Amino acid sequence: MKKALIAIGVNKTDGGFEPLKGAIRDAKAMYSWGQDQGFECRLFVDERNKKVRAEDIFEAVTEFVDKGTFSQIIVYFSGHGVLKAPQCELWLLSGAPKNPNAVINVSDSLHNARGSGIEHVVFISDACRSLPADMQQAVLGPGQVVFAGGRYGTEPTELDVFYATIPGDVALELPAGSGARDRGLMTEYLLDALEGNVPEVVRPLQHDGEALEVVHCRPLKTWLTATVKQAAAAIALHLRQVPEFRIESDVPKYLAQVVEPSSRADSGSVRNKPRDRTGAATRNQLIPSRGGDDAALRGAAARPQAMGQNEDDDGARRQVAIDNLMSLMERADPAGDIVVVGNQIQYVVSKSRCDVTFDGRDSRIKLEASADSTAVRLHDGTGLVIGLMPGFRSVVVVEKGRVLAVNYVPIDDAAQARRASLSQWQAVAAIDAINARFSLDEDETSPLVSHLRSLKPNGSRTLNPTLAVYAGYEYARMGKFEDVRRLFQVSLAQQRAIPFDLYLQAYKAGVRETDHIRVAPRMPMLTQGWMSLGELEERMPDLLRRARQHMLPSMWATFTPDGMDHLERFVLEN
Amino acid sequence: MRLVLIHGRDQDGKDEALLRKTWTDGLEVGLSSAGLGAISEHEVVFPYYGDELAQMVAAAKQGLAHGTAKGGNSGILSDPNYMRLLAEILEGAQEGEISVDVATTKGLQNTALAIRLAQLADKTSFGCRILSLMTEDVILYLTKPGIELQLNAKIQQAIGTEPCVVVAHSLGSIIAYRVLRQLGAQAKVRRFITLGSPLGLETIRKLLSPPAREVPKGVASWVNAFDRKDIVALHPLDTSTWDVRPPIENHGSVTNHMANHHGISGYLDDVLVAHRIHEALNGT
Repeated sequence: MKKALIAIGVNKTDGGFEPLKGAIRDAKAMYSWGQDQGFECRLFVDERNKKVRAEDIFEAVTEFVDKGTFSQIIVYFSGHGVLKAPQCELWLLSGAPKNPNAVINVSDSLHNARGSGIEHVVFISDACRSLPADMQQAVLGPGQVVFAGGRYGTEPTELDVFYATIPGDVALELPAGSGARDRGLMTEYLLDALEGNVPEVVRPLQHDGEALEVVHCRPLKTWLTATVKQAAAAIALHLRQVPEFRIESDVPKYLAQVVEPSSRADSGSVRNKPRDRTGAATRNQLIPSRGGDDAALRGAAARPQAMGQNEDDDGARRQVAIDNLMSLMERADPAGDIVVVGNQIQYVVSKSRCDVTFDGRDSRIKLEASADSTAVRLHDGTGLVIGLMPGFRSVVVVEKGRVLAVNYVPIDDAAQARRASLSQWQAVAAIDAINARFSLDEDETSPLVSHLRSLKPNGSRTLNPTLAVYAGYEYARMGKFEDVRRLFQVSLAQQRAIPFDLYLQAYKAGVRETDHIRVAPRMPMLTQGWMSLGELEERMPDLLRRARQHMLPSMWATFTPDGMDHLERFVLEN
Repeated sequence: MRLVLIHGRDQDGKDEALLRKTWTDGLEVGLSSAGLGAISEHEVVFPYYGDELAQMVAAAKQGLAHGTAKGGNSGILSDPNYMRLLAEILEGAQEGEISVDVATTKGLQNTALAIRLAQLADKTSFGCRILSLMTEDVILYLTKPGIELQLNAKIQQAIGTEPCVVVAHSLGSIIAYRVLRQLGAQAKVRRFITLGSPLGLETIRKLLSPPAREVPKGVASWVNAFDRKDIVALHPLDTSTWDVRPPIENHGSVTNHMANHHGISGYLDDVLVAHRIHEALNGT
């Protein structure tokens, strides 16, 4: 079995970010490890004025994929990263953010890797996942993918993703200690484990009649989660780095084969061996971050919701957020077609005449005729476009000037009886999606998972448009394209309009019977949809393309006043 | 030593014994031309699946036709893999020694392909309909697990875990490869010989992954023979198509005397092919 490694290290971006000192050396260390393991390796680093370009990385990955003889491809990145919105992960290459296109769209790359025909793809990201800190970062484009689209094989790829930190948080870089290099905190410990220095993660494996000692991804996840967290806290009490992993692979797939130190090839590695794993005392100076601003380092990371401290805290905070959202949703005035909870809107642009009222807390919009897309200007001039779904009222929940959720509430009385559970599901999905924790894993025994599984095109249960949006993205992320197609067929059978976001996911999952389908609105509602249009990118109208350059960091696509100018024109002209 | 012979498509309705004799007679001619002894001392295993394949393909095509949208293409013709494979064969034929006019075509892709297919049929003895059917069978085998499972079971039983030499032709080479991958180190194949194999075509290669392609663990050596005018076996299995270790030995100088340059007799009576089979059987 042949394996390949793409190691990317970018120390310097073009403005806006503190130059890193260890990204290149991290990438080189991974490259060196890959060579020791017998991987076919490619290295992309920005040393000696060389720029790291997405096209070069794409070509290298494509070459490996097209060979068809590689069973595993690892894509490693060390550098600055930005989480533009939940599930909108970007890696910054040379030239970014000044060049908003010099970024790798991690989420879309993962989506494409799923259909690559490679058995096992691993993404390792030693980069920040903090929200954009300024407008230059906010206007970063959707970027480029490193895996080509298209699906050939009948078996989906198993994807493992190693993030150095949780969504919204920073990754740390350690300064050079005595004799040691500058290095990323996660990479430091990851390499330690991959080299076989951590007995807890080493497992025996019989492979083709040979007894091996290997490092699988699951034990590595457990060990790294605890170790990186402790290591960050050991450096300084206010520092926090909690890695996040999404592991799908299982035995017999593995990441590293443990080789006895004596038999390792002397590859001229830049790393110091043996590694100092207990040296918290040498790491007390830190620390530039890998994408976040200083505030994040002082412990005020710009997370969508403050999660990740520990499991008890997480659970409690999650429940508070869900209860808060439910109470906001429940106060929505049932008389409006669109209710904006918690904001006095400036005006609405729609093809239908409309009546807007404000009761001191919430705004209510009554439309005279049906309209697929309605642009709503919020109080501060920012705004969003809402799709109207026949049979549903749209409830936009705004908190502290930010769009927290968009929910669709059934209008008919029969559906009212089910409204309590529906509100609960919508609130849970919204809060979990904001924190990138929304999961439809079969192991989850939640009523929502069961409900979604039970939906059939000719069944009696109704698919709620909000849940259709969340579930469409999540099924796609998990590689469950059959379920995406099923949801699309359910929506097609039950509703007079389909959320664009579900249409997008179904299209990416191979559905092509899309003529004469009414979508609402005529654009994605989630930021991640705007950032991963796939083949539909080519058909994107110019006004929408311009609006995309003015997106605010938010899960539900929200735009600056300039962006709203373009969108309002689009709504009127289309 | 057991010699396992695995035939290709379009063998339905044929007498199994006669078909087997066609193979062994062809090989005897090759051996004789090479000045080598007969293979009578070796056990010949000939797993016949022609009728089963035809029935399964007919059933699958019927099912596909029923599930097709109105208008335009129907059934397998709307499968993008089918279109890709056919287009690849046509392009390859054009680039190779077979000349096909590159006419500008109008209308649907299918129409363009149909025209080029007809052109190809004019220029070669490989009929347009035969080429279409071959492509259909290969795609159905690779994309319909029900067909694959049933055929693989039969071929797996024939190959087994005892030492043998496997000779596979056309679609049979794809089936044999898949079975050998499944058997892994359990198989003990002294030599795997593929004749007129479409394994070099990109569409086929992509449909074979995952798993990543490699020389099956239980195969000691792999020889691939082809006639450069055989449009089914357009590409050698070399580093550009099968970058595997150990490399596959390619023998591209076969002059297949069959009208379509693809028939099994025209491969088996090739001197080098016969020689490679003989040395594998006798361990020389």
